[in-house]
Amino acid sequence: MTIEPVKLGQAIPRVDGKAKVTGAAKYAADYALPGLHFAVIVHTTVAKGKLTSLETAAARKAAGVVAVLDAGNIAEAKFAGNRQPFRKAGDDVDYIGQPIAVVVAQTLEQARFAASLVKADYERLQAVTSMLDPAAATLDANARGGPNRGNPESALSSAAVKLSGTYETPIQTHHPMELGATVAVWNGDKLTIYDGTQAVLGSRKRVADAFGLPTADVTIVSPYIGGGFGARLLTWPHTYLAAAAARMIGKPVKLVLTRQQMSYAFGHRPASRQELTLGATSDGKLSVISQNTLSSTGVKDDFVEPVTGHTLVLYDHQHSGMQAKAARLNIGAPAPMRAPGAPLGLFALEVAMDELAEQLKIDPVELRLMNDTAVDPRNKKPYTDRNFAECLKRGAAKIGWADRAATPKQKRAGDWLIGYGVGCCAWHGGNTQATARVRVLRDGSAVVASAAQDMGTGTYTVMAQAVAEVLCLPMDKVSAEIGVSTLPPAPTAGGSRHCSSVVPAAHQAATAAKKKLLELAMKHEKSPLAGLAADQLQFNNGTISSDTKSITLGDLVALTGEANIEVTEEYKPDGKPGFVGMNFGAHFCQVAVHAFTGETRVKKFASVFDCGRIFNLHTAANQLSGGVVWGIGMALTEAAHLDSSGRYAAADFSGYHIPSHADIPNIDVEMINKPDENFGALGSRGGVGELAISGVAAAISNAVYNATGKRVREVPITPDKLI
Amino acid sequence: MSKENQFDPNVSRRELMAGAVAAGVAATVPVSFAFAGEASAGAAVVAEGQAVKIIVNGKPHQLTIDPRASLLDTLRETLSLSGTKKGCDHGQCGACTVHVNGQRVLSCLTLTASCGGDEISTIEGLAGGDELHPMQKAFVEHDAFQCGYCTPGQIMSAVALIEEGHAKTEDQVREQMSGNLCRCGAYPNICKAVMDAQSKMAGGRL
Repeated sequence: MTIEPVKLGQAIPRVDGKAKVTGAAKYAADYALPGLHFAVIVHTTVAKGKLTSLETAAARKAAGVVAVLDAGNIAEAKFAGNRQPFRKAGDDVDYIGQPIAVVVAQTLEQARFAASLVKADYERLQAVTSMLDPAAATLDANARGGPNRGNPESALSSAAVKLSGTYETPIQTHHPMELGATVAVWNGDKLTIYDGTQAVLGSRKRVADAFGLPTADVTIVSPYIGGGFGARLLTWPHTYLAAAAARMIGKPVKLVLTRQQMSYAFGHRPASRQELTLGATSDGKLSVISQNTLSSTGVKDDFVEPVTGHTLVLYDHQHSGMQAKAARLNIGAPAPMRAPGAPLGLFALEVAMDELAEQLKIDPVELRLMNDTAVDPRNKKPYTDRNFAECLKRGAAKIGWADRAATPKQKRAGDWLIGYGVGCCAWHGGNTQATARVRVLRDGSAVVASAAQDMGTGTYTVMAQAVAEVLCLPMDKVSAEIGVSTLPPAPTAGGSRHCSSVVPAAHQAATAAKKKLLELAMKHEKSPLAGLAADQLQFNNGTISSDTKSITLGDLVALTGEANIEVTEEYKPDGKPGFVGMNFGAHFCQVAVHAFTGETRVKKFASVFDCGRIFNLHTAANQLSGGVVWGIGMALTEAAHLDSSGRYAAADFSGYHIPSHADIPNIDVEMINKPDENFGALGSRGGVGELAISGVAAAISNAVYNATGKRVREVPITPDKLI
Repeated sequence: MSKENQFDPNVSRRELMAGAVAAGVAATVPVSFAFAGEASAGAAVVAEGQAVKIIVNGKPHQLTIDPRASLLDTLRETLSLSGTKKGCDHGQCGACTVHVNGQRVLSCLTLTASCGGDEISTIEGLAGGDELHPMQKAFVEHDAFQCGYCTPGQIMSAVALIEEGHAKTEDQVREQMSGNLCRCGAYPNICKAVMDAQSKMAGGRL
């Protein structure tokens, strides 16, 4: 019986699917170790000022409490260089969310109650909570595309058509569903950390450095991650504090953040205020794109949201002037959040393009097609591949762009105003070195292993899929081991370049394993295929065979007398030099805006994406669709409003509204899926995780304009902005 | 360093009992402590106890629990059933959805002490041995998840939704499942999975 061979590119169901739908998949807080204790962080509740006193006596005496960690006793945790994670009495306070104590008890209820008994007093100063506050310290940031390319000022003054606008986006928070959680356990001076991290090896190094340990003495276990979105690239204080508590009490400790703490102490996307200027000929050819951005950051942080990062890659133009500044707020550290910079910068650009199209009386899709480019305008290097025009054309057809009225306020269905909009996206391609180990076992199964990360991205599945394809095995004979720091080195899952690194590594290792098996088959004295040449032999469904004889891979392995055959291979990026790898896409939507309440509903959504070769149709489409959902949240509901005290108006889901089921229509995702011959990486180009979010908010704003005649240049587009 | 600022990992039972009374928490049942033995990983150490009997996935449990304990934390920490997840602990996200007497319920907002005699179903009890429930199968086939963290809650909510007869259209599913948040945004596939599973579930209504 011939069985359809597994190949990269098919819609194979996830190999971790059963574990996830049965509750068997273990996330950090699911590990129950003998003697486990529970820790709760107490943090500052004032954004700026001084911690004047800290009283922990009542907490220490509370039922079940075995320890209260604070500045006074943290030396017992033996952080390297007497590192001090706590604010102590007399210290300045810079934001809400700085740890001041950790309460450790036998049960969670006891720890939580005892934490409420910790008393802290503050001298309050006026916090800086707005980018525009004159009291905010500012820093100049690296504007991508440099300050002046060509001569933007003179090009603008001589441009036939000019457009300039101010565009604004608020602070946004990652809020992955899994709460930040660490379980820490020491064995002598060796530490094991159960955590959800996008940076298994990075985390290991940071934790080892924090305690002055050799990295080999720290093990990170992170096989399942409940969403990362960039927040889990960093190692946050709760991880170090869980380890400190475990060391101090000599028992395993579990520390889980509250959802409110996820707003204050787990990163966020900075706010932005941007001036975007376009200059064009009267035919619609862009001559100049300039962007002047202000974003927020924390009191001492270096992270600046790269708002200008992708503004210049979509459209041909000759001149640009990019500037970036950040203003320091009394807020916790920002962190990379799904496609840092691009959703903000491209919101401004893609709304501005719509405004330009209106001014020129050119169709918005036509205007974009007219300014297509095969080279990166910033450096004139050719893109490895670019099918942006195709994305626009196919997307327009999908949404029924011909039904769109060219002028606003023309379509109505009962009390609902109907409109269509387009917005485009870009995200750089990427990949990097990764190492994979493949073992083929005596039972004929194969295991691929690497310290890679799967936060819903499908890493488990596509790595196994690559090995199944190369070795001609069915999927139920292949498994992937990832997420543990003892496995071969893999990069972080960030920047949308993870699968484009670890899948080629898995493929390379499987290819080396295949070669080894072939040699065994041809040369081992007990092989029924001994003496045959390679071109006489075929791999098929777990066997190697000639026209007349065959042997299973398992039996072949058994001939060696070993438990398995094993190869380890390091993949190095193999793209052609002189190109720029970039991913593109186009979003189209139909919205309905209620004529009286201003409520905006997304009725239809269609996107076409160009990310090179797709490894798995299910997992990639789901990622891209998920990015669209993020874009809808950004467009309509997500904003972390800081009030003047430095507190979030609502630090959890009651006030920070991520999209729910009812907010999301069917999303029609199409992938061009053309292998990129110049990028390497088996024809993939990365980008799948972070491409889709950009351009969605612009598409929706543009559709709202088409429906209502109201141009909204800030997000979220809440009803108050439309009535 | 003053004595007050030092911790003592060998806190005696008497000090802990005195602390419990001083903290003003009423104990309904006199307690005896035990550290969870090495052999019984994950078993609860109980400060003060309320006796309660709950039936979880068909198995009765006679428990002595902290009256402050949520059903969610009892399932996860006392009974080591970690399939039900904590997403917010405030009833806002639905990750903790279980069935209590056949109804979908937010276990983070349910006190275990109020569940005496109740039949509780969690994600661990849904499959019949090795055979996945039609909803679980549909979720895998339709790729109705990414990170998987909200998935047990989505599945438990969806199964109960169908029993309620509230899954007649995709729009109805979207509205009635809005209490189950998914940050990965797998909503379209979840919706398709729910509609598909419904047609295959015994007793499911269309």
